[in-house]
Amino acid sequence: MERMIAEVISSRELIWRLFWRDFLARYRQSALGVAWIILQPLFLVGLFVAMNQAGIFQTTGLDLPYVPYALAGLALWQIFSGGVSSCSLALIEAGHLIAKINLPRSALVFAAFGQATAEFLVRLAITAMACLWYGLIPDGFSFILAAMATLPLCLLALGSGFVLAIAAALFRDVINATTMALSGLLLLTPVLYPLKADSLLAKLNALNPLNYLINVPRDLALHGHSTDLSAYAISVGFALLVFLMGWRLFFIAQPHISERI
Amino acid sequence: MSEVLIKAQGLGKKFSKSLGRGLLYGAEDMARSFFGLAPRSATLGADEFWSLQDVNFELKRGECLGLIGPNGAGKSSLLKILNGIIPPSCGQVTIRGKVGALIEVGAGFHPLLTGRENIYVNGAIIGLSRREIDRKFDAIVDFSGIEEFIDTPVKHYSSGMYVRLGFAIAIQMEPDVLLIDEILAVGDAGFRSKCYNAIDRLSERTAIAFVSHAMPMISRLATQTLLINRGQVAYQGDTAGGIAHYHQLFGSQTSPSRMGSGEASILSVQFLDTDEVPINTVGQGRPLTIEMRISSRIEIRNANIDIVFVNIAEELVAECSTLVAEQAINLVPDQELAIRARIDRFSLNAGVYKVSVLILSANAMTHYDWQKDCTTIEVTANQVGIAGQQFAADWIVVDTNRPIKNDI
Repeated sequence: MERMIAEVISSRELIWRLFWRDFLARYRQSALGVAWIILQPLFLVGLFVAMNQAGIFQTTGLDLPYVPYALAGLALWQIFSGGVSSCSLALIEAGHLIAKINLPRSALVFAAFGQATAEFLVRLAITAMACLWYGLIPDGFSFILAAMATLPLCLLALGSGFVLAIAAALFRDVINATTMALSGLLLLTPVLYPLKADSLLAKLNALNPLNYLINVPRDLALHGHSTDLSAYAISVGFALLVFLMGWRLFFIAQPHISERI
Repeated sequence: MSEVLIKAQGLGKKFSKSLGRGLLYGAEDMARSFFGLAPRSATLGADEFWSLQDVNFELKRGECLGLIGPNGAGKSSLLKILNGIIPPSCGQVTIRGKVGALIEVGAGFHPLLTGRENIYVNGAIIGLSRREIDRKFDAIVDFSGIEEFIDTPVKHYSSGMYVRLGFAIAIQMEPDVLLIDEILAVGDAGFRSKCYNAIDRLSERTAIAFVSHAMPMISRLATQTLLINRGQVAYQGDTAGGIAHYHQLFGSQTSPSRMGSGEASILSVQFLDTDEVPINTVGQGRPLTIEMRISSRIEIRNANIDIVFVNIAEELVAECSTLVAEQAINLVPDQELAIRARIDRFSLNAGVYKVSVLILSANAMTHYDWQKDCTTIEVTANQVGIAGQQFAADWIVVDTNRPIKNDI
């Protein structure tokens, strides 16, 4: 455990550089550049607003304007989904590097998570602007609380990312399976719509840690309070467990990766 | 300054021949370490083979280990194990100090980023801190010789520029242990000489392990050699002995093969000395006669007989051809010919060479017979040069400070 932490501390500069490299390279050869970070969530929220107005799904029981609600949900969702998918690709994309240079492999995963964090921050800013537009101004205290309540979501994403990165390095199937699972989870988890009480989906989501890890921070930010705190506490424990186990698995497995990738 | 920096004990590495099974073995390895179980036994599983077995050595600061052996012998695997990129299947490596590697320099470059940006990224990848890179930035750019293009994305670089920048970053690392894999085969001569100087400067306070097929490099740099053949240590000890054993191995491991249409055939090839005695060893600069017996089933006008010499690094170093000599040889059906090529001064660099003989059409397009690696010839000399050809010259030294008497 100490060695794992020591590795992260000694490779913090490398993590930053790798993040910086990917961030620069990602938008360099595109006409719209960084604007893509903003366009993607706006597009998705636009779709859901349109579907909402067409009556495809109901937002009854929602005591907030839909747009900031959906934007906040998407921003939080993004840190999980973006984090998991970029982490799971981290080793494969650096395959050449790993085969030639001895570097702490966990830095690649942390740097990949950095991409998701950067996107999250941009989306957070968009959400904040939408809140202002609709006259929703969270007080500073609940905002800080909400920010802290987001951390377990990050840990869950990182932990899953560690496991998936190793698994994907061995079996490429994992990439497709991850993409599929994430798009399914986005629809099944109440990110873009509130749950209808007593529905099958609501019963399923009672067991879904993502439900609490996303909705509690969002409730805290937009309402200033949240229900489901005991379920949230269990989900936090789960996220912490996934993070520690995933990180440990990755740390132990990393010497074996380069010859298998 | 004589502490042991690299210590390898009983190193072995096995690989799986099948991808699927290899993945399962990999998963098993990971699961075993995760649950703290002992690693898989040191015996071979199904589909596995030893890529490297029972390697032991110690390297102190200031020493240099030359790793030699035929392609696929396991040299690069050993270097990867030393670099910590792949774990050994058995045995143990202990390395003290900072490890630098000149293996595929520039591997971490991102094509869309500029040279400047890549210096920082690649520097971080090989373990330099931002401050170190800041301090060495000018030296890196200066060494690479590409100031002009430092703000150009590296995807527009030529392969030479790419390698130069990569090397310039890697060499700034000031490692305790330096691992080199055939790196000096790149770049132009001017850059190579810079690299030699840089490595030479490092060699005093570094333990170096390097792989090379260039025996002159090995004999210059290595203080000890490890000859690896098919994963086994075939020789370990002083450099002259290592190279001699490698030459022997190279000579004994030639596998003759035959290609061509078969309408004409080379029946035999042998080397003769001045007394017409068959030989396989010749002193550098001595005369050598190559005698071939040839027959043909068809008529070939202006047949081209070509004898080629390939060195230990599999490079074509010399050729003796009737086409170049403008010697017309006409083959008639069912006639056997003895052809001799007499070379006054056989001036190849000391070493062992594989010899192939070909019968070609006049335009050198049709191969009637191609006896690849049909024999070997060893050239002996007191000193080994670098280039394939060593011209014997009369060296005349004139002291230009001596007053010249004017007799007229």
